[in-house]
Amino acid sequence: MKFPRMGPESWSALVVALCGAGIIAVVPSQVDRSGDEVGVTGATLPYAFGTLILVFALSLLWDALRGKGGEGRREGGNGTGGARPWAPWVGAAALIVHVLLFPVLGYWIATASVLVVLGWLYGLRPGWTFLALVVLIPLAIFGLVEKMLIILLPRGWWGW
Amino acid sequence: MDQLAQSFFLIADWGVLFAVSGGLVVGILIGAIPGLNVPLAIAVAVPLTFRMDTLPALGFLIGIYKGGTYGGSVSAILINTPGAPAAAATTLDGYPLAKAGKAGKALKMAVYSSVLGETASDLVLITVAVPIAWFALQFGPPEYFTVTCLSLTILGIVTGDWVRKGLISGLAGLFLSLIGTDEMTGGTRFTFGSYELSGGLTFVAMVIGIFAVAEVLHQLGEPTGGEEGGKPVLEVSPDPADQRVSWAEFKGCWREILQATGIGCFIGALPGLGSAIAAFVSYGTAKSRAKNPEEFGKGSLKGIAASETANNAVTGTTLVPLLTLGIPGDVIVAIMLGAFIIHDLVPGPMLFKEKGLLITAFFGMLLLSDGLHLLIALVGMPLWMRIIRVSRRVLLPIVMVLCVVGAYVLSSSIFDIWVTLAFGVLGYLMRKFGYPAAPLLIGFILGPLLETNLRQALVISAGDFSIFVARPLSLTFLVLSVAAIVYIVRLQRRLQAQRRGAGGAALNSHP
Repeated sequence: MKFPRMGPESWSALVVALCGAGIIAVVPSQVDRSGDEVGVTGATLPYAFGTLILVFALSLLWDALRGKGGEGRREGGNGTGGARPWAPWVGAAALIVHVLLFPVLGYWIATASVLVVLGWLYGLRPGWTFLALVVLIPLAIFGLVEKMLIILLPRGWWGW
Repeated sequence: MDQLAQSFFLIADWGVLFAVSGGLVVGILIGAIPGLNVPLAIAVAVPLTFRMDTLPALGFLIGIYKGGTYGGSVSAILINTPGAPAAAATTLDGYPLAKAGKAGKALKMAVYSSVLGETASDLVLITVAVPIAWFALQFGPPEYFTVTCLSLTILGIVTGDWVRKGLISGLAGLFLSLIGTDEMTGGTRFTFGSYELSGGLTFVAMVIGIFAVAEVLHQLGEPTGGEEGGKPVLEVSPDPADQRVSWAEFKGCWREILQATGIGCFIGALPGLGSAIAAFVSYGTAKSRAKNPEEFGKGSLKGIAASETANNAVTGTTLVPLLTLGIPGDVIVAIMLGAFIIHDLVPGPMLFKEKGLLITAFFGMLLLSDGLHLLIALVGMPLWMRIIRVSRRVLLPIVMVLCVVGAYVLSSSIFDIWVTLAFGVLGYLMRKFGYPAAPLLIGFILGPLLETNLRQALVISAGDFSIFVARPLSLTFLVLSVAAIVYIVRLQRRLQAQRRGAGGAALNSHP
């Protein structure tokens, strides 16, 4: 018997099923079970939600393996990305680096840097628009947050 | 009467006027730009309203909501691309009219019908909200549990065509709402020892991630070239009569406007349906009842009136379940719930008792926003026609930075930015694999209501489950839940048929 081929649909269903199973597995260590006297404890609904997620995900997996999957796929989407499938991941990585550097470099440098990366990813190339984006936007947001909302933004190791 | 006079003074304030007007301008701009949408705009705006006074803050968000719902029609009419899913039905007649050189006529008809629809909807809200709230004061935990069960049938609707994936998303939201401190025992759940998680996930940080960051990440995967160059240039008719709506033309659409107002108000009050569905149902009804249905789809003003009135007629009545029961009617209102709570307005029946003056002023502000909407939409029309040419290349990086800063200002905490990022990536993956995000958010809001009231009801009955059928109101809600499920199944089938007929793929793009 040939084992069915796993496509993006099957993999996503499998990951969701594992999440459901994971919820059920961690309930005993993560929930205080006092309140048994009324039949419903703090663990009851987590068990119920985890079990239902597992059941629905397994049914999706079963359909996907039989070639009946594809429920809710985006138009033109194949579960692997759009025209530039790598770009969202580069964008997400840039954001993670940005957040890591936010308290270290401070608001100004971190924000200008991430705007350079995101502007480039969206197809902007060096020019007046790019320069305006990188300089004026951090300035405008700074004015809005620090001057109008009076919330201090991170200063970084240099104090600015 | 005294309260009315006091509330008038509360809204007759420059701050309120500026906030509502600013919200309308931002909303129309966001709505007009394809790719940006109202949930994204409100998610980013909520943290910016923290330091504002209550009425201007809510006015700003209401302005974005109303403006954004109308704004989608601008690009729908001018470039055949609905700026928001709610305007998808408007493209069917708006664009043919614009191609015939009558863009001004189409845009003005859209403004008039939108404003009429939302004004009627606000009046319905004002009329029914107080009686419903007084009725809801009789609810105890069993009634709240069963009414929450009834609301959970929303998930069956917001899942659209993707029932199992929608249910998984809703269940994930219900589960995520349990993270943090258990209200009944005081113990923590699923915090894995993290101090930051002991208070639960920050709602607004989650919303910014799942709607705004996920959308911007998704757009990164789209092609960047040629987006500005490929749109056809519209001819404009030199005859001034082609750029305005005459009284005779307007009067000819009255039947469609009244019908659409009824449909929009009704659908808005039902949890979970939203403006896109209202527009399509209204358009389909108007076409099926028209004397000359063959005119629809070829530039009929009645078609524009039907869809635009209905999609804006949702905006007032969708606040009915939120304000009276604390249950959000759709995803945009669910996001706004965060702003209500931040400003110490906990939606539910007690809100009308404890904050009566503020709620009266809020209702007055809704009507004020309708007048301002008409004014701003007409005066700013040349600007809206230009803005659809602004590059997404410039706007999307700005939105992303606003998301990060918006998450930070919630509590000046880097942890909230991580929550936003994590949910941004999760939202992006959900979108890629066809798991709708709206049920997750609604599940997250309803989870605590469901669990707390279930457990409190069982404490009252000493563990006897018959308490839910022994009380008349509670039993009624259970019966209504079953009826709602049957209704939803039938409605889904009807909508699927309409989508196939009206090219409603755009409906599926609703988050």
